Amino acid sequence: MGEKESIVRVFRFDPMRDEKPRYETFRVPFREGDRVLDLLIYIQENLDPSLAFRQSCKEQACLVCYLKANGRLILPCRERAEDNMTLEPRDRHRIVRDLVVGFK
Amino acid sequence: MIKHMGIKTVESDVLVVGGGGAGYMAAIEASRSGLTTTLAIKGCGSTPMALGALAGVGPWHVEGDSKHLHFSDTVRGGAFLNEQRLVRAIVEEIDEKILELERFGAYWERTEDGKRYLLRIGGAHSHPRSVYLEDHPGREMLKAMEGEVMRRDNVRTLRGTMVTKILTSDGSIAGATAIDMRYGDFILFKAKSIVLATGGAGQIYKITTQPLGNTGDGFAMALHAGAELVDMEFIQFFPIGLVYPEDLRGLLAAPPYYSRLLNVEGERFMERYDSERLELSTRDLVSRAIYRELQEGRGTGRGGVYCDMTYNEPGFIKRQLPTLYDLCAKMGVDLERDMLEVAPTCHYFMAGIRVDERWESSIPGLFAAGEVAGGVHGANRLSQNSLADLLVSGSRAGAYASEHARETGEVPLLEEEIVEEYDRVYGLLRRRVGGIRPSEVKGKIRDLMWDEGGLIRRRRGLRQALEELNNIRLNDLSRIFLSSDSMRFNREWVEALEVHSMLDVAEAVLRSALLRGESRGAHYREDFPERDDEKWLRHVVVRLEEGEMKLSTCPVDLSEIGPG
Repeated sequence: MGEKESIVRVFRFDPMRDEKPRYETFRVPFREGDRVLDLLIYIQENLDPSLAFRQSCKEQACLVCYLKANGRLILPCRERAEDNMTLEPRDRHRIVRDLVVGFK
Repeated sequence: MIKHMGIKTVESDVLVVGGGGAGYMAAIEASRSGLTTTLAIKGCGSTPMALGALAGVGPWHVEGDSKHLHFSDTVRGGAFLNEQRLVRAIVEEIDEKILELERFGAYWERTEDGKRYLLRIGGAHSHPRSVYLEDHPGREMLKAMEGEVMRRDNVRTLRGTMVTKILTSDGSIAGATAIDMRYGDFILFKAKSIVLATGGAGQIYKITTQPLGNTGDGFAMALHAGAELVDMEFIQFFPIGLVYPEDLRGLLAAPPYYSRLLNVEGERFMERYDSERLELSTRDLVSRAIYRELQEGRGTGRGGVYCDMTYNEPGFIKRQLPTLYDLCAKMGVDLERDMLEVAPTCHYFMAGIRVDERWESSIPGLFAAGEVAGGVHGANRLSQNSLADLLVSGSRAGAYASEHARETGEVPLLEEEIVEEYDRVYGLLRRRVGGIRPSEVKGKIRDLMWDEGGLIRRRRGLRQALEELNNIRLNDLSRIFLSSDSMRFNREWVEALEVHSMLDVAEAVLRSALLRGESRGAHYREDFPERDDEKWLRHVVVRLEEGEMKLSTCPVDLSEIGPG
């Protein structure tokens, strides 16, 4: 990674422990062409391994990863990373933890 | 005691583990007799599965083709290491399964008048015999099967569920334990039969086409339950996978027939390895050639070689490979002008659990279907045969699993075993200080398997890799710590469990590769570069005895045809 830096605000919430959600800001290096999923993987691998988000096939087939970026529903495995991003779960009502939402 | 531990019990006649094609097929078949079936799926989505096609000879076959030719193509492609009874079952029954999938709602491409299927031909198939739908027949199949499972009241599907241990009682299947990866509950499955359909273990290699969840849990659980693994040294690598971007690393990139491979010096290096067939040489040969270029320092900065498609006429790639073209355009690469960086990628495990024609392991009531079963494809799998395999093996395993469950009375569960597993699984969550993260341990395994247990193997390297694996077991496992003890969607917790499966599978692969002193199909030993039918027309079998892996060899089933 390298070249550019993205300021990523990420929604954090563990319903079992936290009273209310909060946002955490990470500075993530990225290159032209990197996707939002690259940012999330970078955060989990290098900055905070406790971050919860879904991923599986990475190629826009399984559709488990989708979430909101800057208020818009996106697939992180498809959307390009930008300089400033706010990442939130796709739905605030059934949060399992952080960016992961339950099925039921 | 276990009543007070907050354990969720799920009881059914048959438990199917795995949410790919083989798992769905097994669940559908097991439920036909009216017995109850639970389908436990680790991944939260499906795998993308095959882009190619589905081989099967049926009434639609082209002139000159036959089930027997499909059989002999498969066995020859597998360098005679296939269990011929298993291959026979697949070629005989696949046409009925293709029709059945169409009844479930899958669509195969047809001729203009709608009367016949359009057929594709794949490498080493002597005739076009594969049905398909554009470039996603796998997804089409899965969609149809998923719908069929939903229609059945006696099948219960649990997603986000990672099975951690198979429970036996007096040598018979009694059930399994699992965790709900989303909320952290401990689940006790009571079942008389289990079908493992957990796919391959691509994640033991640094670069793979297989999804994150494919860490080899099925192989490891079967081994610990007392079953045998077979042909563990046979793992297929696809030559042209993406090396960039990072999160797409390993995904199938381009088909060889539209590509020229160049090293960093701009040389079309395949001229040195196979001057006749060049990029169209066999998958294992092209993969090894690229690997050698990289080892000898002629790779790109990102660890690949160049895949050049720019020589094709303008518009051609965009038309022929629309999905790839769009994907690359998204990342700023125009395939009509720019070159891709590619490298071989771990694609498929011919290796697997040893089964008979019922796809039953040596443990009564434990079945394996699809990629996790071994012996079908021998030393090398032909393209388009995997979909055929998983449909037939899934059906057979499901049918015999329900038969076994019907004939079996109540099997008592051993409480101590459940408590022990409970303590092991939740004990990991309390590991908050230590020296190494689960992902680092995974990284070590993946690197050493890539370097010594992958495309090119040598005695010394294999020995060293085994020693390193042992060091990881001795020094790293006890030092693993997690950043969070949350039970909710805690990826590191799952990874800490997966590390154990990966170590077991990696060790079985390395030991088997060390024992087989020859080169055959996907297994290449630099110190034994020739095939040796005299000595090695045999399987290597791995079993666990008192916690130690024991290797032996056994003859191959040559009941129909032999080499020469």
